[in-house]
Amino acid sequence: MSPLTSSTTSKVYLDTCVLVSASVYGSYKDLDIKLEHQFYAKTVPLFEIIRKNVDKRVGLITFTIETQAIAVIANAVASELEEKAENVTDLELRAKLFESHTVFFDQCLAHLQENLSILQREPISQTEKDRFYPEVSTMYNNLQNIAERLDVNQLINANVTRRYRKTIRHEILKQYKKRYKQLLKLKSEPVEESDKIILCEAISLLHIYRKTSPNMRMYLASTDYHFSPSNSEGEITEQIKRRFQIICDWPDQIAKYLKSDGFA
Amino acid sequence: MIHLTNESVFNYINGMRSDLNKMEAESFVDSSFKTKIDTLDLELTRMKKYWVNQKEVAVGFAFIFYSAMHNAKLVLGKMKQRFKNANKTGDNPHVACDSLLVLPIISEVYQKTTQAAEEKQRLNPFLPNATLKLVSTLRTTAKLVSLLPTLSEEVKETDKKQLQETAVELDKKFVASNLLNDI
Repeated sequence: MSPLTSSTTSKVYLDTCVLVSASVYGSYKDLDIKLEHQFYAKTVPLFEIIRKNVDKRVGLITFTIETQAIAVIANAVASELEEKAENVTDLELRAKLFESHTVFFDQCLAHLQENLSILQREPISQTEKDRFYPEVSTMYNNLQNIAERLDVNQLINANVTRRYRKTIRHEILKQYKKRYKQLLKLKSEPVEESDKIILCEAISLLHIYRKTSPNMRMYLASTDYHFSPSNSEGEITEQIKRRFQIICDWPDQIAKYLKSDGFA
Repeated sequence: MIHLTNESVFNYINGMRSDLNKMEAESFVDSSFKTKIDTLDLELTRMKKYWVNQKEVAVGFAFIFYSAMHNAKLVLGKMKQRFKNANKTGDNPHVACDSLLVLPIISEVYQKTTQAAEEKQRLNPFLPNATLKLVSTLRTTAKLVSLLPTLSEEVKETDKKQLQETAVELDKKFVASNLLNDI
């Protein structure tokens, strides 16, 4: 990625999963307790850059993201408590369960607040979002159709001579799974409406910013395969970039892009 | 100690705010204010227990309102501690000024929690999220004015074994599930 000229700038729109990953952590050394979201470490470099460049308003969210993030954390803690407390009739034990869950919940909410305080919450009108919905929806529908038609046997038959098919089948299958990971994921987990809305918001933001900064570069930081690549290649990521000029990637990777864009 | 009804809680908090305004104006902390904190704390404890024992709504919903009361109690606890030591620590009348900032939020948190208790199954779907945001505001404001206990103060009375078990289970939960699909 080439460095930006002085007249260009970059913004990162953060997906809900990134905000949640960055907020779910806690270390209580006295108690030998550690809680950390599996992707927490991947969000650290991105939040470091955003924090250092808070005056440049590099990190963006919307009302949708903020509301979803609170709900996701609340839901995860509450559903865990629900599993534990559902059949507990002993009131003392029930109270202990509620209390221990609220301790972690409060910590995560506090981290979420800290993270939100360095992000710019952008207003986007429904009309603005709706403008891009048909194109976003069509893109995902087309990719879903491609994913449905993916057939490893057909690929092997088309590309490998009959003689070698049996011997290298296992290896080809491995490569195939790696190569088409994003599409295979889409096949098993079709895109959610909420994902489409998030992409529409990212596109809307890019359009709004480009009115004043034509060379604006927009990233979408996400740990979701419906946006970000699962390895070096990804059909969905490529399509989003080609059609909408939004660069989707994992938060640690976005941090690298921002560094090469001149953000210290 | 006085036992309050839901309606009288709001009047009681308003009365506490008047007392605080007076303390601020006169630069004098009335140590008997601690009794008023205790009275309010008792009512919040009652509400907290109510949500622990509540079976008519999903545990998830009950937890949010329980958590709201828990946080309001944490702030009140810190407030009481500061009032107790105000003269020794030179916290006079700062503690009154700081308390004035959080008391209206506590009142609103309590209002939302009682509303949820009245509505139960007919619960306004926006109420849990609105309450969560308000609790966040309460914690942020309380932290800014030193009315939020530190984490070690917060977990002093908490069962440590239960805390460890919960940490392990939550850790697994955050690893295993696609959380966005659950909302």
